[in-house]
Order: sequence, then structure tokens, then C-alpha cells
Amino acid sequence: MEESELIQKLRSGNRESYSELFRLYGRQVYHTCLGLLQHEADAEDVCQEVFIEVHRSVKNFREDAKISTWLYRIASNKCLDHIRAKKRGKRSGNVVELDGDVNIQISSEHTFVHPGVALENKERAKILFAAISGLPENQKVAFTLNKVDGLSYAEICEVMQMKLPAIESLIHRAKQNLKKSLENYYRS
Amino acid sequence: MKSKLKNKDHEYETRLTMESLDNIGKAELPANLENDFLRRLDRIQKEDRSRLRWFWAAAVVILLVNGSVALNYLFRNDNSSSSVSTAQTNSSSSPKESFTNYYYGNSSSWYQ
Repeated sequence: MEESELIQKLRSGNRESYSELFRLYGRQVYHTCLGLLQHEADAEDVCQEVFIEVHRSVKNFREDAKISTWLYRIASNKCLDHIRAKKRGKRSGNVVELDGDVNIQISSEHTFVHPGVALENKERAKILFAAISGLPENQKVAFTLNKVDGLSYAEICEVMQMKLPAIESLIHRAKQNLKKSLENYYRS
Repeated sequence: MKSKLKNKDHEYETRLTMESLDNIGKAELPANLENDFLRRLDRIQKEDRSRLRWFWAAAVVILLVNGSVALNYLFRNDNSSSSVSTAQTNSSSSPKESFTNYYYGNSSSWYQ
């Protein structure tokens, strides 16, 4: 089925088309949610919310982007909303400096291990995910889309609706922040 | 020399950790997620349909009430205007004369 045909069916509220959409993109959306939220139950919940949002807003979808790009955009926004809602009332332990750098405190309580990580990398990936969770929102989304979802810089530009130099800068700063926090972690 | 070596270890560990997400595989989709989503979608579509039904029902009621009020007003006006016109056609005098007759009586009868 072509994308435009699928969108027409989604617009008419056809149940089978939603099932088809979930079969085609469910795994991709779940993977993105899991990378950003680092919590399996939350990722399942937000993954469903992403497809419910498709149902709500497919009438306004202008088809100027691919469905997968649109889904990445909804998923990253929903995940950030979820993280903000969870953080509300909690104090962040990370101090953001004026130049956008951040002092990330890697907590040993952080136990998330992504199921897609190879066995020999699991321990290190756990530490890296703990560090990623302390990044500022935009850096976190750009870095996760690049490293975990394997999106190119051009695709991230479309998802985050930003220019290429901005994305390059975000990912560069994210890497610098992660490197700094990991070095601090291994020194202590 | 020892601290230098230690620093090298930190750098090495940091580099390995940064590379730990290379070639990460896609996470498997939980088995019931699609069914859960479709159930949730059914519920939402049902609620949407019910909301739409209530909206149309309310719209029809408002239209009926407004329509009946408008018709009532129209018919009342029509009746009253028709009674005025009947009175006017029955009366032989002009409006000015009718007014004078009302206040002073029929002037033609004064001299009789």
C-alpha cells in the first residue's frame, strides 16, 4: 500500500489501516520511545499514545514529510512531554552552564539496559544511558536519534525541524558533555 | 607515570563507553502492544461517535426550539397585522378622522 493511500484510509478512520500502520512502524516508534524514556513500561504507553495522536491529527497532516519522519517527530515530542511530566516537582541534579555545557552526575541507581545492545557492551551502555538521561532535551533527542535510531543528520533535521548546522552543533555538544561526564565518572 | 597511565585508562574506558551504542539492534515490540493499541483506538472512536451523536442531537433540539419560536413570532405578527388591516378596511374614515372620532366623538353627530 502506498503512503498516500494509507493516509487516506487513516483519515477515514479505517481500523485495518491503523493495524497496518502499527505493523509497519510500531517497532520503530517503540524503539525511539525506549531510547528516549529508558523505561519499558513508559515506552509501551507512549508508543500507543503516538499512534493515538496519529488518529487525532492525521486530518491535518499535509504529507510534506514521510510518515516515518512524522512518527519520529510525534514520538520525540511525546517522550519529552512524558519526561517533563515525570520531572515536574523533582529537582534536577544537573547544572546547566551558560555555554550550554552541562555537569551530568551519573547515578549508579540508573539500571536501564537497552535490549538491543550487544551482551559485551551492556555494562558500558548502562553507564552511557545514565549519562544521556542527564543531557539537555534537544541534545538528548538529537543524540538518541543519531546513535540509537541510526538516523542521518539530514533525517534528524526533518524530524526536529532545524537546520543542519544546528543539528551538528547539538550532537557535537552532546558528545562533549557525555565525554566529560564519563571521564569524571571513571576518575571518581 | 602512574597517573598518566591511569588517565590513559579513563580515556580508553570513556571511548569504549561512547562506542557501546554502535551497531545497536532494534528492540522487539512487546507481543500485546498492537492489540492494546487497537482496543484503545476502538474506545476512542466509540467516544468520538457518541460525542458526535450528542452534538447533532443538541443541534437539532436548538434548531427545533429556535424554529418554533421564530414561527410562533411570525404567525403572531401575521395575525395581529391582519386584524389591523381588517379594521382599516372596515372603517370608512381616514386614520386622522379615526383619531379625531376617538377623542371627540363623531363630529357629524354634534349638530344633529
